[in-house]
Amino acid sequence: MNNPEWHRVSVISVFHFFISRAISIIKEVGFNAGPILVAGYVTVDDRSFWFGIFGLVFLTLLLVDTLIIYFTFRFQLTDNQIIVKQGFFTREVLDLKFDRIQNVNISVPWYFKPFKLVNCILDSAGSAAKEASIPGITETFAQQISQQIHSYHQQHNISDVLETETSSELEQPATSILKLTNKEVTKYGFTNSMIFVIAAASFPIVEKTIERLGWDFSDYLKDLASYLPLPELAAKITLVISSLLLFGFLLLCVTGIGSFVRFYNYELHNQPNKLKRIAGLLDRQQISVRKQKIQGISIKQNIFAKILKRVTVQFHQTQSEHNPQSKKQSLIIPMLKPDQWQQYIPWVYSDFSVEQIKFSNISYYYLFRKSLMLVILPIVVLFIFLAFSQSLYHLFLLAFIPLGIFCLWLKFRRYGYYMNADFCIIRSGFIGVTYTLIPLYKIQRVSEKQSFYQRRKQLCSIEIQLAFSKLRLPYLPEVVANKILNICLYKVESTDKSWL
Amino acid sequence: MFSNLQIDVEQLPQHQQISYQPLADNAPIATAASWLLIFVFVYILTAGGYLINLPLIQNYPVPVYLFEFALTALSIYWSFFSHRYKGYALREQDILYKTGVLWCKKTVLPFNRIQHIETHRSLLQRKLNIASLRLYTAGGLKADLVISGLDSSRTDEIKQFLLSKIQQEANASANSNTTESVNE
Repeated sequence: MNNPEWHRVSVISVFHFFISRAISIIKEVGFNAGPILVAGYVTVDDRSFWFGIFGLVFLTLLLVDTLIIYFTFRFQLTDNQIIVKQGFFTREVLDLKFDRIQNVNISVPWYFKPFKLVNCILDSAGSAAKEASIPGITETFAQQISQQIHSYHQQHNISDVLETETSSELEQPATSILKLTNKEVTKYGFTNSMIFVIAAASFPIVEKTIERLGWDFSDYLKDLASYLPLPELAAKITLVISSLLLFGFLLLCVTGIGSFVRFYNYELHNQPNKLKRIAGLLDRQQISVRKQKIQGISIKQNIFAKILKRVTVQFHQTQSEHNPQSKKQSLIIPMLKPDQWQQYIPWVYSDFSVEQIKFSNISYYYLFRKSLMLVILPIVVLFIFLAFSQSLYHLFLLAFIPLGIFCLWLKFRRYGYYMNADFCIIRSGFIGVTYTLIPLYKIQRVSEKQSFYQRRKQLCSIEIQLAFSKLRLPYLPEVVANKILNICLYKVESTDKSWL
Repeated sequence: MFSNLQIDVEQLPQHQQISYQPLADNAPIATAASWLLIFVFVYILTAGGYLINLPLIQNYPVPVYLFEFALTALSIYWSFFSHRYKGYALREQDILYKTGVLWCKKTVLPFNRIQHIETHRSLLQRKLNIASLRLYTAGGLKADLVISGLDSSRTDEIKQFLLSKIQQEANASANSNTTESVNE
């Protein structure tokens, strides 16, 4: 391709840009603008006028922005890369090398269908933020781009692009297998505390709905209390406690049934190159994960799992914005006994040796500093303010200081790290605990942060970016942190293994 | 041949002993101008609040405006003051960037983890002949490393250098794949 030409996209893509910009603005500023809008709604008198003006200005700016993107959007295909240019006030130039492209997705949104146009998304090996998206091109052209990238990968012997299984891989024998009983997987549902959080968060909505519908349970409860052979107060307390227990039991049943349906007849097959999980009652779902693509392993135990003396092991893959399957398909082994998890790590990382793991703790200054800044100082300031403005009645606020420090101590005692020549395990948590195991050569980026206080105490915090998450270790001695970062960099930069 | 020699950790390259290159002299002007633009918007909002009778602004217009002016002055001063604490460095295998006065942050990004590179030039940056370099890896939703306030020509040089490094990595990886498949 000697004279690569600059291509433009169809005028229909204006609609695509408009929708995608609107969604991205709502996503980016929606949460921040929410309180401002609510505050405006409460304080402004002529709401319909001001909100009308706001809406009009927003739509006009969005339309102008969309038109600027459309008129400035162009792309060029060269022998080994695609270059996308857009923007007027801020010119963006995106160079995406073909060898970095993992997937070529061709999607047909409903607004492109009548015009026989498609959106071609070039997914760059897990780089979540800036996959190239070329909307409003013909399907033939999109196929041509896809073909060109595939040919490049074949010529340069890049194997990562194809996610499809080859027939020889399908015939691989399972070397070992893990089966979980349905009783165990149902118990796993009970360890899911998220349902209680959702229930608590939805309480105001439910309350409003009941109020709107005009339902009144108080009379019904009073009648019910009168039937109990107890004094009135005791009967009411009994009813409230039993209602809460019943509600909690119903929630547990929901999560238990959900887990039973999802993980029914759970089987995990360990094949030479991949792990394959088969489970499900209504839909027998099979998830295969290439061992090479597993970026890290988490071992989690929340408070409910602690009561049941079980842990959950999660194998993480690269997470990508345009590939939601990667998020859904993180492979989970639920309900292992706490002493069992180490034996499953070599299934994925064969060079991980099962040994006695001794964690090093972070500095005590973490507890001192956080207690001072997050607990003692705010409570004392609030107490002084209230004591001056009102009375000493608020003395009880000081009782929250030991409670706050206790909570911070729980978090502090969980932080820890273990490192050998090839792996790092980071321990964190609050009441529960999470161990995250990462092979050092899979690290993407490292950072070191140091506040003024930390500098004086010769401490610093480190941040390790992985393809699936970001791990933090606060308040390490500076010498140790530097050593960890230097080893991580050495491993990443000297390895010839592919991280993907 | 397989080997598993012990590594002397003390002999590894030390990222903490690097001398950093400063950013362009014009860079703090762009930062200060961005702050100024934000505060102009805040002044307009405050004026709007005064016109629609927001109690706080209606009752105390002078203290509110004085507070905003003080913040504006502080932001502009901080843009210039913090400039001397920012810097970047290139090593054989990675790029480093440091920023921050009270909270220092050093970021190290190995070349073999860069997925793609972007350069940004806003209207003001174009006038000041500076640019931003954004480097992406596979992690995170935003750019992993943003160096804002580099000379335009220096940005292009670094970009070309990084692109050539990425290409070398890709070629090395392809050769390694070929060798592996031949061995199989």
